[in-house]
Amino acid sequence: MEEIRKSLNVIVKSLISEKKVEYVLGFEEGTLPLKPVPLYIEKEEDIDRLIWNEYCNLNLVKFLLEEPHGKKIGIILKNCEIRSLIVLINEKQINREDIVIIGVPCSYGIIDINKVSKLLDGKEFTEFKKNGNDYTFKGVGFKKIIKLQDILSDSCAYCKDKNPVEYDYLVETPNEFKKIKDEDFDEYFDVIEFEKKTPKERWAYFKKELEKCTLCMACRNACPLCYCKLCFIDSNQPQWFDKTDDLSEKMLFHMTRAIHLAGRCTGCEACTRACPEGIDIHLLYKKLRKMTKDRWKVDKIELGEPSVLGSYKIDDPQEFMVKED
Amino acid sequence: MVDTKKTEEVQVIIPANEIDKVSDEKWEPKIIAFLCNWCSYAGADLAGVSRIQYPPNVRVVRVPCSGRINPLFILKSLQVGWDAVLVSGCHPGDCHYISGNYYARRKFSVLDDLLEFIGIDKGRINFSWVSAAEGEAFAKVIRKITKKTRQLGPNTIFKEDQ
Repeated sequence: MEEIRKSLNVIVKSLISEKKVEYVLGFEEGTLPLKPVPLYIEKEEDIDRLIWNEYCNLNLVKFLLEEPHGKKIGIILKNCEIRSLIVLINEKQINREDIVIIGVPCSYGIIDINKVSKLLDGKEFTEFKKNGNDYTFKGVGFKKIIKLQDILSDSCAYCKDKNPVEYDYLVETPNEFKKIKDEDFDEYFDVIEFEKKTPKERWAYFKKELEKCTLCMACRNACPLCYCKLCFIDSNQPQWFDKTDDLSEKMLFHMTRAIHLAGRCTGCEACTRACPEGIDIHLLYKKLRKMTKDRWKVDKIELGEPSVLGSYKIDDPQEFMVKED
Repeated sequence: MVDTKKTEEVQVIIPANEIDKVSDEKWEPKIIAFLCNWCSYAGADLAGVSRIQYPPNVRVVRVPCSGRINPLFILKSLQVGWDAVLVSGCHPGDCHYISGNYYARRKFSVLDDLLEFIGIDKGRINFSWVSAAEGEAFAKVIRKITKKTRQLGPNTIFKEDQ
């Protein structure tokens, strides 16, 4: 990670000093452990605060949406985030020429802070130390060692798509990154396993997870693809949403959000990590990615490709239609 | 003479939380049908004009095109307590707006798969192609869906006891 940070420093320094961009978006250490915050690097002296590690858990693309067109911005991204930027470029929300992408290959993924607090039984930790694959969490009156694979985000565990597909600058990869390549496992293994369960079990799972939802909209705010000026949930005319804590309302919101992300979600899982209640419905979004691959042979989002729901083929499968007899 | 009792019964939309109280004998499936103006609505009209008999459980909403249907309409219908939803449009290639039904087809398959994935019975949401000349086909589709919905029972979608 230190090597990456060094090469990032060189790239960012050259971008800032040559005035190629107005600022570079990255991460700096936050006030709480494991909670980095976005850093806007405008001057060279800010570069020292830049960090890059496995707990930079926000999707920085979200912060580009606020910026006016024509403003040159540099941004440090992993591949899943680059793909979500590609979606926004395809949807004409961001100009490709405005953005200088600094692509960083991803090693094992991002730590899901909700998994950490689950393993610590909700206790707050004030300190953590990394030692190889072991993470030591310290708090008032306890100390616990947790393995990295237990706290990794779910989609990172099954991710094969780790090298940037679109970039202006690519960070040199240390050797530890290359040995991860493994063709043995199926990317959608967890979805396939989940589909084998009975409908009752699947419903029980989603009910259990979504009952925790408080409709705080943290998932919507963390997602770079949720950029509607007026979300259907906030609309008064017509009012789709009754603003109660009924399970059906939560279902309606999460199902509709999932449909809005069909063919767009890239699996960065910023939404899952942003959830204050620790709801884990990443399978819903992963299912969408599997569906687009199975049904329409659209695997990954590429620059310039039409969106899945905004295009069609004459011979799309239609076995689900009601037959007359 | 208008049978006032009957019209009243038709107009009452049972609130979602009272569905359990409806006894099995009294319960009639209520199906909302979004029909495209140019084909399926005309097909339904033809079925009526031709005096083809089909179950009276269906309520029709006319929409300009099947591509106008937002999956949210379907989810919301199920949430407020309709027992089944039918969306029907022109056959592929016959869309009045050239490609609306192709886009609709993709949206529907996403919704269909997603509802099945979270464990909701197949058959609550139905999609069909019915042209303006297919009055009999429309009646058949309605008969089939009503029969299926009867088997599935009252709508408990998104409810605790799904």
